[in-house]
Order: sequence, then structure tokens, then C-alpha cells
Amino acid sequence: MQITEQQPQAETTTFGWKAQSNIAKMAFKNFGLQLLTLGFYYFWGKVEARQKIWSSVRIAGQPLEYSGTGKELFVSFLISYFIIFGPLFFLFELIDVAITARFGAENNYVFWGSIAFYTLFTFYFSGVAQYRARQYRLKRTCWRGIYGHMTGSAWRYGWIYLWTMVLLLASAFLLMPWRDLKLRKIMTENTHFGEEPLQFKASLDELLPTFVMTWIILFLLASPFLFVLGKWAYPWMAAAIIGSLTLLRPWHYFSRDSAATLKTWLYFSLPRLVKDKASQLSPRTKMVVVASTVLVLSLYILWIFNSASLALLLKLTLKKMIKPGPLMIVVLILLFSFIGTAISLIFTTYYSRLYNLCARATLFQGHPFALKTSPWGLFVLTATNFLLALLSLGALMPLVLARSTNYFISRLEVGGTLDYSKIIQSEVSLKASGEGFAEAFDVNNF
Amino acid sequence: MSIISDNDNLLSCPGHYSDGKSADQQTVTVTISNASLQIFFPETQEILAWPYSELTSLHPLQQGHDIWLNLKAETPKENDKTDYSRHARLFLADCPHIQKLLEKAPALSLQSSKSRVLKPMYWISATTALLGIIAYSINLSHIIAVSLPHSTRALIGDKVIAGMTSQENFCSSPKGNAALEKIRRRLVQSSNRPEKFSVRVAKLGMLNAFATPGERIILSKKMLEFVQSPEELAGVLAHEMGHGIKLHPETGIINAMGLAVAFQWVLGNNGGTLSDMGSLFLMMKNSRDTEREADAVGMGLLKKAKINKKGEADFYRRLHKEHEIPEDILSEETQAGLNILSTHPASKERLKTIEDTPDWTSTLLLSDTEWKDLKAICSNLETETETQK
Repeated sequence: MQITEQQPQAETTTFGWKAQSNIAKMAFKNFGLQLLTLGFYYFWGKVEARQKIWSSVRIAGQPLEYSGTGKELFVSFLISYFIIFGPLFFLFELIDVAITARFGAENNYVFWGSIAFYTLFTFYFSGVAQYRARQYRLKRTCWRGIYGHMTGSAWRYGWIYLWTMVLLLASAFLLMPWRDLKLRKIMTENTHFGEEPLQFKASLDELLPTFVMTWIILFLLASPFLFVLGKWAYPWMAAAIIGSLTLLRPWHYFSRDSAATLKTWLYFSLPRLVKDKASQLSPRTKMVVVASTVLVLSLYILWIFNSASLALLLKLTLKKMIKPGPLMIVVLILLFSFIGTAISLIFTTYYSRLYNLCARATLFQGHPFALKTSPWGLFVLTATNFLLALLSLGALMPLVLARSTNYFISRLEVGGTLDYSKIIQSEVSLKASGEGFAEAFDVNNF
Repeated sequence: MSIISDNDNLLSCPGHYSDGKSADQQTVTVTISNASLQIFFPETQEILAWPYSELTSLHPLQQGHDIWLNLKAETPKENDKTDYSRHARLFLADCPHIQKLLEKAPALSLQSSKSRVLKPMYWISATTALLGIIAYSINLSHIIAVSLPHSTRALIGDKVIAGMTSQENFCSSPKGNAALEKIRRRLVQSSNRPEKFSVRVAKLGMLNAFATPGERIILSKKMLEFVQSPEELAGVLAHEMGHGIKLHPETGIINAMGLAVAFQWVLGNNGGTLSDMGSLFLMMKNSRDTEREADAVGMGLLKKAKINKKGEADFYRRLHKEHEIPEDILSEETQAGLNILSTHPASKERLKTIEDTPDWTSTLLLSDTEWKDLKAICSNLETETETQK
């Protein structure tokens, strides 16, 4: 009798999504708890949301785990805000005051110099913050007990982030694909799962044609507005560029701002409503509710002007460098809205290409990944997520992030069979300091 | 010898075990026995026992959900780099005996998990609310403002002025300056206060006067054109000096910074315009209170300086008539709402306060010639460009 020795069947690596619980319900609950606890629950709520989203991701049928704690995030936030950056910005302000006193604020070198300094400072630390946040999250992510980690230096990454950003702006965003791939290469090649590093081998040639076409279309669409602005262009464009950067930010930033709007309204209107019985609202209460609601709606429009551009516009107005009027405000709002919408629509083609290319370029144990996003699918995802965030005023942000994760994970594959026995636990310390920098600089912060 | 009894087999689930050393996994059978969780490895016929008291899970156990368990993290043995036990994972999909497991390991339940997080949260929030009330009650911002040295306050004030009026000319003429100085000196001397105040007229197109940190007062050209008597102007200056004496500009800046930080904190660390605007209502309310306080101090200055209060009353009467929406057009609700949104009490309210204050003796403030010179301060060809101190 011949006995055939059976070879153990290799596990196929599949990626999937299996929601563990109702994330929308959790999101609303956390929103309420955040208000109730004067904001403290924000960190614990973030941890809970991440745990649910991570655990819904299935690799070979088993979930990712997120082991970070609210306490880590909270302590890191306190250190960054109150010990590092809070005093630092206060010091900058004092230096700014002294320089202005010495040279005078009408000195344009002082004025633009201080803007340049703050901008460069923010760019640099945004890069550092992104890297450190990713380092932290990888150390708190494991699969089958094996943790990830990142090597490399966040401080070095910050410099690369900064000078590539300067080049990007100087090139009117033409260098975007080069920069995107460069930064992703650094991040990816420093990422390890256990002791196994990822590799990244991407070619710019695959991305350039799509990007150039995208850039040309966008320029052609935006140029009539630039022409219309005419002689007002110079100071307004400075503000417009800063303002439109708002719209280039991930859409979920909007949801956070709009969440703040709702919370503001709740804090000031709701106590009055509760105090007066609903059926017997006093005229004063009615007026407060109406006035605050009108203000809230107005603030939605004002969202288009982020703090930096609003401050700049105010300063330029007071300095009489620009003369705002109702028509200009309307033009600016339309311009920002148009640019923002156009960018979102047009760039989904580019981003779809970028994501798919980056997946192909990423190798693990020599096997490439494959991602099958489409421009239309990405646009529908972005648009529906945007509406969810907008209509829930930010409360459903965990849900929209879960939807995004689901979208990408469900389209991800790896070419080849991974040998799990070779994915060995790393001896790198799992000590990590939270995401205080990311909180302070508001980057990629979920 | 298997220690799994026939009864225990009824409480068994299939599962997967990873040893924490590599990502490889083994198919196992997990049994909920009386003493511990028994993990049976069919390939090697070995049994690993995990005590219930040592079990932990990132997610509370719930019926109908997948569960994955690991042992509580111990302090890793320093010299033993091969101790991967804290990284080992046991994954159970669709195990029907979760309830039984929860009876053995109640710390893994949802209630226990919630309690661990929420109880300290409520204590922290209550403490923070209490501290906030205390800080608000003792007006911490004002205490900080008082402790700032004058030089620092003056620097900040100069910067505020420079930011608002740079590339603007300040109005200046020898006779106009002298007349303005006369009013200033009379108010300052009668106050017996150490604050000296500097007053300048700036070519700003808005009807306004404002006090900055460091006892600087700026009158707009439009304000100078609006006032019709030296007593009216003295009333405006006295009000702004009231702000300076009470350190309202300094307190306001510190307050605004604190509120901005507090709102970013409470509202979930949201950045951007809207979260900055989140402090707007509260600042507006605070602003009205400080305006009332400045009115009261200003009235005191006018009284001591023996400047007729009629001027200030005339000012608010005309301001109300020419620049505010008549009340008969607005409903009571609308007026109330506008008041909420205003940074100043309504002129009518301020006028009433002045009229209710008993009269005092007054002396002439400026001669007609001096007043004309002051009114013409901005039309002089010799205007001076702002210079930083």
C-alpha cells in the first residue's frame, strides 16, 4: 500500500472586511461622550474606533489588532501642546513682537518673513508628525501577535517633507507625482512587519501622463478665474492659494470643522432651550436660537476660509492692501468652491492611478500587492463620505474612515503565497510616545 | 493523557493559535474547563492551559462576534528574549460558548470594559469643570494680565497698533496735538493713576476708538469728525482710559487665547476657523461686561476731572440716532437677538446710565479755538508717518 505524504496546504493570503459591530452607533455614542466629558473622551473614543476598524480588517481570515490606549494618546497630546509647542509658539510670539517693535510692521520683509517662517516651521513639523504618528500606529498594530514597526528618522523625514513641499509649490504642483512617490518610498521601505521589511519599487513613468493631463485640465479650468480677478490678483491670490489649500486637505478635516460648528451651537443654544420649556419659548430664547443658527450657517461658508487665509485677508484689509467688498467675497467663495470641487473630481483619476501603482510597487517577501481602485469608484466613495461627514457634522467620521478602509482592503490582493513562518517577531522595543505631534499639527490624524 | 473530559467537550470550539514568535498558526480545539481555558494541539497532542484570571482581550467578548484572546502582558523577562508568551494569540470564530467563558472570566465582558474607561472619565470631567469654574470665578486672565510688566504690555500694544494702522498716517499738528494733550492730561491727572496713556489720531475710515495693551489709545479720524464738542471727545477718551485702567485689552487677549485653547480641547481638538469662532459668543458677552465697566470708570474720570457728562450723553444720543437701527422697526425679539450678538451694550442703555448719574460741577475743557485746532488735526499738511517706538 502506498502512503502518499500530504504536503501541508499553504495558506492563501486574502484581504477582507468583516465589521464587528455597528460603527455608526459607536460613533454617535462617542460623540455624545466627548461632549459630556468636556472633550476628554476624544482620545479613548479614537482608540475604540481604531480597534473596531482594525479588527474589521481580515488578513487570511484573521483580524488586525490595535493595542494603543487612550492614556498614551492623551499624555502625548498634553506633552506636545503644553510642554513643547505651546511654550514654543508663545516664545515665537514674543520674538515677533520684539522684531516688529524694532523694524516696524509696515516693513514688508518683517511681515512676509514671519509668514514664511511659520509656514516652513509648520511644514517641517507636519512631516515629522506624520512619520511619528505612523511609527506609533505600526507599533500598536499586530496580526497574529506579530507587531509592525518603522525604522528611520522622523526628523530626517521632516526635512525631506519640507524641501520637497517648497519645490512642489515653486513648481506650481508639477512635481506632485515625484514628491508623492518619494515620500511613499521612504515610508514604505522603513515599514516592517515583524522582522520583514517592505520594499518599494515604483516608476514615475507610469504616473506622469495621467498627472500632466490632470494638471493641464485644472489649469485651463482655473485660468478664467485668475483672469477675472485681474488687478486684485496679487494679495487675493496669496490668500486664495492658502484658502484653496484648505480644500486640498483631506475631506475629513471639513467634517471636524463642521463638528465644531454643531457643538458650538449646541453649547449655546441647547442650554437655553432646555431652560425654557420647549412649548413656552420666550421671545428672547427664540431670537438666540435663530441668531445662533444663522451664525452657524454663516460659519459653514466661512469654513472655506481657513484660519490662516482669514487672518491673512483681515490683515491685508486692515493694511489697505486690498479692498474687500461683497462682490469679491462672493467671487472668492465661488472660486474656492470651484477649485475645491474641480480638484476633487479631476484628481480622483490621478489618485486612483497613484494608489494602484503604489500597491504594485510595494513588495513583501518579494511578492507585489495589487490594488484595483477606479477613478469613478474613488470619486463615489469620496463624495458619499463627504456627505456623510457633512450631514452628521463630523460625528460619523469613524464610519467614513471605516468605509474607506473597507473600500481599499476589499480591492487588495497579494501576488503569491506568503510564508508566515518566516514572519518573525521583531525584538524592537514597543515603547512609543503617542501621536502628540500629529494632534498638535493636525495631520492625518485618525 | 487527555484531561479534557466528556463534559468539557460540550464546551469546545475550534480555533487558531499563534505562538507570538512567528505569524504561523495552528488549528486547535479550545475547551472551557472549570480551572482554565484548555488549548489542545491535535498535531502534537499537547495541551496548553491559560488561566482565566490571566486572559485579556482588546475587544470585550460578545455573543455572535469573533473573539481573540491573549495573556495579560507581564513584565518581559529581561534576560529571556525568547519569551513570546505575551504575544501569543488565540482566535475563535463563531464560538457558541462565549457566555460560559464570560462566567469564568467576567473581566472580559462589555460592562467591565465600559466601567474601566468611563468611571475615571467622569471624575476627570467633574474635576476639570470645577477647576474651570474656579478659574472663571477668580478671573485668572486678569491676574495674568496684572502680572505682565508694563514694557511687555507696551510692546504688545505697539504691535497691535502697527498691525492695524501700518501704512496709515497718524494725524498731527502742533496746535491739534496741544489741544488733545490738554484733554489727555486733565483726565490722567485727575485720575491720580500711574498710567500715563498716549493718545493718537489715526487716519482710519471707521467710526471707532480703541485702547490697546500698554495704555495706548487710538482715535480714528472718523471719530474725531463725529464728535461735536470737547466734552464728547473727553467722554470717548475717558471710556477708553477706563479699559486701560482695568487692563481690559490685556485680559481680553489672554482670555481669547485661553478660550480658543479651551474650545479646541472641549470640541475635540478641531482646528480651523470654526473652532476658533467657537469662543465667539462667550467673548461677546465678556465684551459687553467690560464695556459697562469701562463706562463706569470713565464716568468717574470725567467727574474727577470736572468735565461735563452732557457731552458723553450727547454722543450716545447721536450715535443711537445716526448709526443704530430704530427700535420701532425692530421687534423686541430681534432687538434682543442683536444685543446678544453685539460686543457693546446698546447706546440707549448707556445713555440711560449716564442720565441716571447725578450731575457734578464742571469747568471749561477747551476754548473754541483749541477745539477748532483739534478738529483740524488731520487736515494739516504735516502728517506724520507712524514710527515704532
